Amino acid sequence: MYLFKYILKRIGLMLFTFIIIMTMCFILIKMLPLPNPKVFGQDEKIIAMQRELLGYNKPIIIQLFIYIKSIIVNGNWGVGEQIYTGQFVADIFKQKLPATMLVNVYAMIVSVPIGLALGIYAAVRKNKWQDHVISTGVMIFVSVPSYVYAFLVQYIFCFKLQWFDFIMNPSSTFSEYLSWTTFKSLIPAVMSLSFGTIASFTRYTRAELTEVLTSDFMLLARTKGLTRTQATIRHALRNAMVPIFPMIIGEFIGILSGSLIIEGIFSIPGVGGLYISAINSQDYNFFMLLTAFYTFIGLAAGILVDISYGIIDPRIRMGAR
Amino acid sequence: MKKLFGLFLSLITVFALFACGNNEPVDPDPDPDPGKTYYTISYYEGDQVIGTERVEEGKKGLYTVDGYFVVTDFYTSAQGLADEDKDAKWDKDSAINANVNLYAKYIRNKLVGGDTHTNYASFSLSPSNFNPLTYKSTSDAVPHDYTTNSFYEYAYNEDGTGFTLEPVMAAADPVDVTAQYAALEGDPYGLLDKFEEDEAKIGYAFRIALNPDAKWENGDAITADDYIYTMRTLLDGRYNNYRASNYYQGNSAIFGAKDYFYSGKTGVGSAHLAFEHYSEEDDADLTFVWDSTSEATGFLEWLVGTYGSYIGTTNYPTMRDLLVKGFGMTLTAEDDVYASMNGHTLAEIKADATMKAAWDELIGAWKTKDDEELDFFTAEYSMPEFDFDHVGIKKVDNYTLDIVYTSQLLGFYQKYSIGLPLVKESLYEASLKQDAVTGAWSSTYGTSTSTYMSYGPYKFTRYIVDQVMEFARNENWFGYTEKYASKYGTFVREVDGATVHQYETTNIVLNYVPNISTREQMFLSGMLDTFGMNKAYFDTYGQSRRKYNATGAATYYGIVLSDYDSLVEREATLNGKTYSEEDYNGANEQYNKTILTVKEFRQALCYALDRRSLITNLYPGGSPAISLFSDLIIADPENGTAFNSFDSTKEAICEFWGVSYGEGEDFATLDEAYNAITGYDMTTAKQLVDVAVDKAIAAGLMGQNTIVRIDYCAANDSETEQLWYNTFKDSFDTLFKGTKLEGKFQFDYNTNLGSDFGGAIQSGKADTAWGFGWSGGELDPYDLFQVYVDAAAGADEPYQYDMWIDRSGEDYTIELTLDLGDGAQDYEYTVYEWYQILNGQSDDLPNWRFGKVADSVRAQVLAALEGAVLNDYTTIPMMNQGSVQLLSYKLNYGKEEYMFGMGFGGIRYLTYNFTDGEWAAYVAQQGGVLNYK
Repeated sequence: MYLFKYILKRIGLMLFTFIIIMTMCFILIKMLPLPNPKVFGQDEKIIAMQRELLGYNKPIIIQLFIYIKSIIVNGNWGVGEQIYTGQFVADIFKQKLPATMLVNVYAMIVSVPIGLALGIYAAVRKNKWQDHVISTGVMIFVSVPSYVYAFLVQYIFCFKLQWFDFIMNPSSTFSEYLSWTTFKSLIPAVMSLSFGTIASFTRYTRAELTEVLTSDFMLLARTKGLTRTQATIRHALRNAMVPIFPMIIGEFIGILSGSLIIEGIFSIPGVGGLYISAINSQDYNFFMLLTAFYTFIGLAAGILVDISYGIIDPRIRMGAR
Repeated sequence: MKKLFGLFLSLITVFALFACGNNEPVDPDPDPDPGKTYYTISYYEGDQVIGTERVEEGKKGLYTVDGYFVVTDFYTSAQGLADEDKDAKWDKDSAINANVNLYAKYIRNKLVGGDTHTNYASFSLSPSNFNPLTYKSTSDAVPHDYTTNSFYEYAYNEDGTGFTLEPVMAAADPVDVTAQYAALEGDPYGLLDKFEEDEAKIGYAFRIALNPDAKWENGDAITADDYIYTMRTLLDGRYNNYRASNYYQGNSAIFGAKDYFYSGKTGVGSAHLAFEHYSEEDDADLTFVWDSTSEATGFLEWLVGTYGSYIGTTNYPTMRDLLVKGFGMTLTAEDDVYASMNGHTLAEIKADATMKAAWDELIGAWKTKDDEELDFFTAEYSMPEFDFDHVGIKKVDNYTLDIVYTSQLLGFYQKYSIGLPLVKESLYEASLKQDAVTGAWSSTYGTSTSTYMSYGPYKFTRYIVDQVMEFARNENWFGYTEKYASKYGTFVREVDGATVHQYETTNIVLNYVPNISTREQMFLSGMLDTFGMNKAYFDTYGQSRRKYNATGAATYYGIVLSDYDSLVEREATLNGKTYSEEDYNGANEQYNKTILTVKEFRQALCYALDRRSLITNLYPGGSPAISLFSDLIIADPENGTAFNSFDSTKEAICEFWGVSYGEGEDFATLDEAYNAITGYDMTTAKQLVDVAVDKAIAAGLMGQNTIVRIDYCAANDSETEQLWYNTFKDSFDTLFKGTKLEGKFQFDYNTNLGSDFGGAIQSGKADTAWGFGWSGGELDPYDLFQVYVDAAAGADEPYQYDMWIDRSGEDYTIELTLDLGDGAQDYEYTVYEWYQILNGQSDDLPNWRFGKVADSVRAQVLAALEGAVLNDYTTIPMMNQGSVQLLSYKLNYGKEEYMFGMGFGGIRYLTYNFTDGEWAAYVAQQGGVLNYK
């Protein structure tokens, strides 16, 4: 019951925060000048008239009401004016999000188990040659940016060995996105994204587990008669996961945000460059939609991470007095 | 913990299942309904079955054999086909009630293994809205290249040396019906005002015979109604279609289009929208605007439309500065007085003595004709209702349209300018959506394959934004039918002289590949058919035999200061002295600059530039420039002849470079001589240096031991600028070796002048600056020539960079013998006057601009003018703009040389050395990686 109330309270606060952030963003963005409609050979008044029709010249607070009403009544987040002109921004976002999600999900599925496994193995084999090999690899993969791997992966596996496609298989439907062809075409990108994540998880897991393994309660567990494996899995790993699990959730949140460079190299039509394009081109409708989406995801993730502590470690009671 | 791992395993399993879920092969041709009877149509070519089709009993066949070939007719026997026997001709409307063997008549002669020819290309900026009425960017218009046609389109002329505009969606050339419309009672199109009483009434109204064979991709005929619907929709003010202004402003403005677009609209805008004429009664409704960021007034709209706004620049920080300096107006009132008038009505301005005085002064200086008071004001407008019936586009019959323009279109510019967009009415109506909250309309036409309809040679088969565009042959395109075989049939390919088919491409696939290294690897793997190179790739592929240079319009040139006064002043500063031109004696000075006034010295600099080396080092995409105009500049737009193709041009260039031809000369023919010019002659250059030094010493410009120091003016100290400087320095160091200036020449690197280095050389504050160029004017070099002769043009930033030279002076008088239709006669004018004549701005030889004089004559004059400018050696051509791409072994272009309007021939003339299947096998045979080095 405590947890339920806690969640309700957090959701309420989240919505309140969301509204505040969105209102602030809307007001601030509307205080900026609109992009110049001048294009050589075109009548800029056409754009001016359309803006007038859309209420762009009304007081900002009125514009805010129009904006909210459009979203509620029509589900209309506006149309692109500077990029994807004339297209409903929500439609474009919906078209582009699956590719980003897909490649990141695949990367997570690959990198989390491998990262945890290597981290555990390195911790258990601490200061042995296996640990040194893994730690050295971790240092390399953490230090080198993912786009460097991307170029190498593309050159070796796509160009030289010709195992994979250079670019993502064009997909627009659910079945196309989840087809074997698309999966195979995404492997180079997944590999490029995974190296750094694997290294990161390995390092973090090793560090946490190493600390836990040297704790007094581990000695107690062993003296109780548990084998080393039993003690590690039942006690050490569980304690080590308290800080690691939120990190995994954080990585899942990252699934929704694309990588501009990786998506560019492998022609993945994701959302990686959309935010930057929206800001650079001053397309305010795109900016607002993306801000709303990522703000919401960020806030929701915060709640999720907090709740996850209680699931991982029952001693942590959310909302309890 | 177990649960956690369990969760991961489940996730992996689920995704693996999903990932593998669609791996089942899909039968592209599923079994027919077993409850029905089907018959087979077998298509034969000779004895060979080249395709079959299953047809339900009693239904009609689709008659599609292969996407590559278009079947025009079928015959039930081979003999019938050979004889074109009418009795043996198969009626395609026949119901199929038995198996049928048909012999097909193709417009393609040879079936290439039943395979396809797919053109693979890439794009880095995806189209997102290819609605012809609302698209914005050039990338949005890419699908139009394949899926639409215009009334008139570029094609190679008969001998392939230029282009012509041939009817495509039109059935014939436009017919001028201006007189017919001018004779209408009440002159509803306002045509009579446009002509002198006895002047031929031509150039405003045209009758277009529509191509009766043009069809939408679904087979529906395209008629005049389609054009009328499209224009009515485009110009419908409710929709605020972005492309509406294409048809109501500029040279292709259609009569009444703007009135219809603005019909019933209200708002605040230029006072010209609100009032047709100025009247003092309206003073209270006119609001004065002195805000350069506003573009609502007639003056500001004109300023921006004509020049782009100058206001806010260094020279014209305020509107008053612009009017005084740019327009030469006399205004005594200060800017703050005008600024104080901003936002006041004219009635209020007149009521205030100070403001009234300023206003009277302003309008007195500005006004040259009636109603120009309105130029500086905004007003609330309420546009009158205007019916579409009064717009200058009329349906004459189903296949005939009349269009009435507001500007006169003559000669080449008729077919060049006449054009209308097309959208499919049923789809467009379904695509329109009105927002319930704001009332704004939007359209989803042209945002997917299902919301768009082709009427060009190809149709969309797949489009995913930011991913892929795929096109296939539009089998309903009239050009594939036998009737058009003579027009779109075969042609002789330049590269090997083979007779090949037009439109060999069966499919087009454009993939989104934003990364250039990915594009390179895909190209080498045979997955892309072209690869556009940047400089980084030239070392690798610069010598490739598959390299194609596309010439750009601009010719980049250097400017060498030759103004005596400026050079004396600069030399004095360099030597740390102050002296006037009268006191000047260069023989006593340590450093010299005035040798630049000696023509032979500038000529030596010009000859010392190894332009091929410049290209390699500085601009690998370009080509060496030996004249002021690139090969892309067209002097005779009627047949697309480049200015550099005229003999008169070649002769002028040969004369300038001192290359002669004929008996006893180095070259037998003019073409040989012209083609041999490289613009590099170090031997002569060295001789010229010695001549220049002797002349300079004799004239007292320098002494025997004076060191010549000239500077290279750069915008900044960037790596690129240093590369340019070092390249020129190397050329000049080589030049002076073994001459009287050996060890006595210094080339200084000057970055102190910033980005306005053009202005610096114009005002004599720099010795040399390199890399100027002009684009635009591809079809009008006569107008473009202004940048070399009109120092007054360009207002804030004058066009002429060697503007200390006045080419309207007597020294620049040129006598030419011309045949203007009444026998050869001599004509003598200055360079500037000739320029005015060429552009119809002279009363002596009027109206040259509009085709009264043959373009060959105009080109002859322009060649002489070009020679005169070059002969000053103050404007030194270096290189022509260009880009470079590699072309796959799979393909050949129609022409090897890039041409304005045609490029390398486009998709129409793209031909294939391999079918798709053969290409895949070839690439595999090569180990998967092709060598283009």
